[in-house]
Amino acid sequence: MGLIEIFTEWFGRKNQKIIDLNLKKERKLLSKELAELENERNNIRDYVNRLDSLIDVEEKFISEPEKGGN
Amino acid sequence: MWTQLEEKLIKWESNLNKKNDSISDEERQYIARELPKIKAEKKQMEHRLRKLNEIIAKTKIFVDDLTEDECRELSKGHSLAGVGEALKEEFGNKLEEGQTQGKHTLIKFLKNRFNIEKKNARKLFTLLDDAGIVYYRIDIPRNSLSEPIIYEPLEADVGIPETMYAFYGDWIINA
Repeated sequence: MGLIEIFTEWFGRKNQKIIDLNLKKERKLLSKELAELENERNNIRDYVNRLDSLIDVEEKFISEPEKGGN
Repeated sequence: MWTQLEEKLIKWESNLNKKNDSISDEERQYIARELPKIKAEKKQMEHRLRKLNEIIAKTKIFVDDLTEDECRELSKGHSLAGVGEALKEEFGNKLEEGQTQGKHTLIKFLKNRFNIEKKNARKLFTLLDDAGIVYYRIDIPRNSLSEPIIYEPLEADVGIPETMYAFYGDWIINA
């Protein structure tokens, strides 16, 4: 299974879990789920920032010959 | 999942993060080949971030609503805001008592003010603590931050010596 499918499945499970916990009025378990989701969000933010840094550096290398001419 | 993502990113970072300004044609070709993949990965992750923010917002609303319901149930019909206001009227913005003593004082107040059982007053206190309406704030002077906080095991049947705790705080009423 690819990463996209893994995330899609994980997301679906999380969504169902929070709906179930809310119906059962499990406030504390729901708060734990919230903390886990926020942690996942922080990981993704960090990942996107690292991708941005890579893109910034690599775009400079790619565009350099064009800037400098022949 | 994160192990695989981290491996992928580390591979890109180690192959692409060239510190020197000049790169070979071969490296340039590699960058030209990989850059669209990195941009596609970024787009994918930004999409996940957006969906995660949606599910986080939904979960927060659920937690807030359940907290409110539980508060009304435990306090015989009072809202979180109402309970918070009652605490503020009685103690102001803070209660200058230690962690254990202050907790007892607050629970006793909740029990008497809302005419509820002690068991429910304890639950209500925990709920207020979870919701950030009351919390114990420890004051640590900035010049002490570099010093380690030592944990000393507590012996049974012995009173807690004052020197056991380096720092003290107050109970904050954040209503």
